[in-house]
Amino acid sequence: MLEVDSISKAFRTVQAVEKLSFAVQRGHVFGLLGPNGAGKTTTIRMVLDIIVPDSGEVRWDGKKVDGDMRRTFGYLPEERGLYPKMKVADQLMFLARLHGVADDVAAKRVAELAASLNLTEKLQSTPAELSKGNQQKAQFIAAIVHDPPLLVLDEPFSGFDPINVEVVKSSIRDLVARGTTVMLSSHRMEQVEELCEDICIIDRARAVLSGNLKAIKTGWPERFVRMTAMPETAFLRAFPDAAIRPSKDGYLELTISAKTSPADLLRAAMAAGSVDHFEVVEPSLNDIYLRAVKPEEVLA
Amino acid sequence: MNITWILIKREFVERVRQRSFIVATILSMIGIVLLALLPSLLSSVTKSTATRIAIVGPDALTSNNTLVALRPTDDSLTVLTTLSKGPELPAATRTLLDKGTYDAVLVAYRSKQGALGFTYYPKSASSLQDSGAIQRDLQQAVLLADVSGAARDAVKRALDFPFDVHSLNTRYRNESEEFFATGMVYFLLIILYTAVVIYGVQVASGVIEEKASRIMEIMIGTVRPSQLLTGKIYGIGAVALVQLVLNAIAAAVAALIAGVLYGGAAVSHGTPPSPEAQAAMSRVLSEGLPHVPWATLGYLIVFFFLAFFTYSAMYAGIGSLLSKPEEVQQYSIVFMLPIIAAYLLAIFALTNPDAPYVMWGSMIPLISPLLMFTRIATVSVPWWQIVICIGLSLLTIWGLTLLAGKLYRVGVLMYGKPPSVKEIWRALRAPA
Repeated sequence: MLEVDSISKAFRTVQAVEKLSFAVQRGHVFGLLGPNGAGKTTTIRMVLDIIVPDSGEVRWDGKKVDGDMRRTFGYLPEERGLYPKMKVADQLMFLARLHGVADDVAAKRVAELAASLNLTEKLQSTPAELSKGNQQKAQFIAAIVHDPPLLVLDEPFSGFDPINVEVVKSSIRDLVARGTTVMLSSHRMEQVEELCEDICIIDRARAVLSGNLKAIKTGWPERFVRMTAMPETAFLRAFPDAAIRPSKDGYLELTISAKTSPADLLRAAMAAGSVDHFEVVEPSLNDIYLRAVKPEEVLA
Repeated sequence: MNITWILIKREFVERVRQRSFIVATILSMIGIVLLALLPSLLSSVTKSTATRIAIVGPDALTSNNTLVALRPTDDSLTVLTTLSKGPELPAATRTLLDKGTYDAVLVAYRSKQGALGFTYYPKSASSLQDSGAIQRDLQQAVLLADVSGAARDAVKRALDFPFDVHSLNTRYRNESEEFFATGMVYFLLIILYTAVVIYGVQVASGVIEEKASRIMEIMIGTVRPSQLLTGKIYGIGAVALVQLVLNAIAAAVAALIAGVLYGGAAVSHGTPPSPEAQAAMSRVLSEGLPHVPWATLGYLIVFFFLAFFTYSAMYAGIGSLLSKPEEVQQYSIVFMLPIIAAYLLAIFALTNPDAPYVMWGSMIPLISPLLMFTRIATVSVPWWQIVICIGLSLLTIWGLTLLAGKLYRVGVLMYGKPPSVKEIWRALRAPA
């Protein structure tokens, strides 16, 4: 289990991360979300012991993370690259050696991963000769070549085309199935929603929301209703906490609080006219994110 | 496997594999061979085209005396039967020059007062160059021309006065030996300086390349900045050592070839050069050029590494603060200033190795490796000064590497504009 225990880091006058805590269960995928400059990369660097926190501690399986331990971790930085003139296969072997993997094991693993990511033919090329997509695949292999117990991905999908996003996602699922713990940061809500069991949203150096994604959704104080557009909306007056959301496709979309019964709303609507479509949807991570990073809107 | 060792190995193998490295190494080896062979190639060329001089005198005796006086030169000399009537070139000999039988004609004549005079008629620029030497050699002929009997013998003996040089310098037995030795040290100094600059700047640009390609981001998640720094410096240091050794082998091969060529040239040549010239030549070829004491070569390697590690720690530290390869050019003056200063001081030291500022300078880190090498190669240096020089240099390397490690820790994750002095100061004060 990865435990981040109240870590803080200030750069000169800027507080980059303040008393941030979260935990990632073994074999879970954890998503670190937040706007640009919120402190995601600084948090990741502290997890990997690249930056030393001013206070607080990061533990893996109960032990404080140190140089020898982080060598076993896998890391795909946001800004990533490989040696432009060194053969891809050589670089992957080199990185595996740095992670302490024996050459024969590493060679087997490189071959396996390259095959699963369709990169086998490019192993003898240099990154300078590869397309951007293939470079990204090589970088991804570099992060997982040593079969890390903890894989840290900083914006793993940035710059990937949709096909490669799927390839990487399925690789991440494979790793999780083997027991790898994954921590990733992303702007892409759909992908986080699809992959992560647990999330933490940080804004301006602090955690504003964290926990199990499913629990967050069920416990969310708002519901969204999507129904047939009605000629007039006078029936909504009985529901003071219902708010109309802008809709593009001719449906009526409403936000209601958890206290409001959707059944009562449906009955009232049916009394007012004919209803062909009525649906209650959980908030998407995007909705939650937009609410969470706007601290001026106080949540119920 | 040890992490630092893996880093060193990658740095070394990837650099040595580069086509640019292979080409540069082969070219420099060829260059060294050509450079070393140049004197012997030139000498064999000039020997085969020895100036053919025809001598015309007012009488047979004067012509013959002239011939004897000119013998020490390498020219091929012929006395013509034509007699001169004055300083003018006789018409008959003019045609011989035109036909190319001779390269030059030397006309000896008597003035109206009876004094001996000469006019030299060279056909080409190369034979014109001989005129100074000919004038020198003719002085003897002039001095002997009009004396006879006992007086002649007295003049001859006087002219043959002994002149020996016994240098009190224990290193050099004579002037030419000192000349070659100093030249050699100068040459080695240039090698030392260029090697430190070339490989030091390679360290800086290597660091920046890793930052620019963002591989640094991946590496920094796995290894410590200090390990990256050490791997870079030692890896490039190993490349430098290989290149220096290859160049030394090239020089040794060149010396061998030069020896063979010279031996061959002496046999094939019709008129062997004078024994003195031959001895001087063979010393240049078999001793002068390749003959650098082994100790000096050993010190060259030692001081190269002292200088290389000192400067490359600095270069790596500064390099880690920059983001783009272009910026190395921009900041190269920062890199170069101390080593250029050391180099200039060492050149002054070459002509004045015993000056106090040279002695003290040879113990001050940063400039000491070049200065101490110059002193060791030219004069005998007390052992304790060498110990102080090497000791202080090692301490400096240790300190600079520590500082560079701190800069590295901050610098490698820093992109964009180069840092301000304030930021650098803050990085240096931070705990390692």
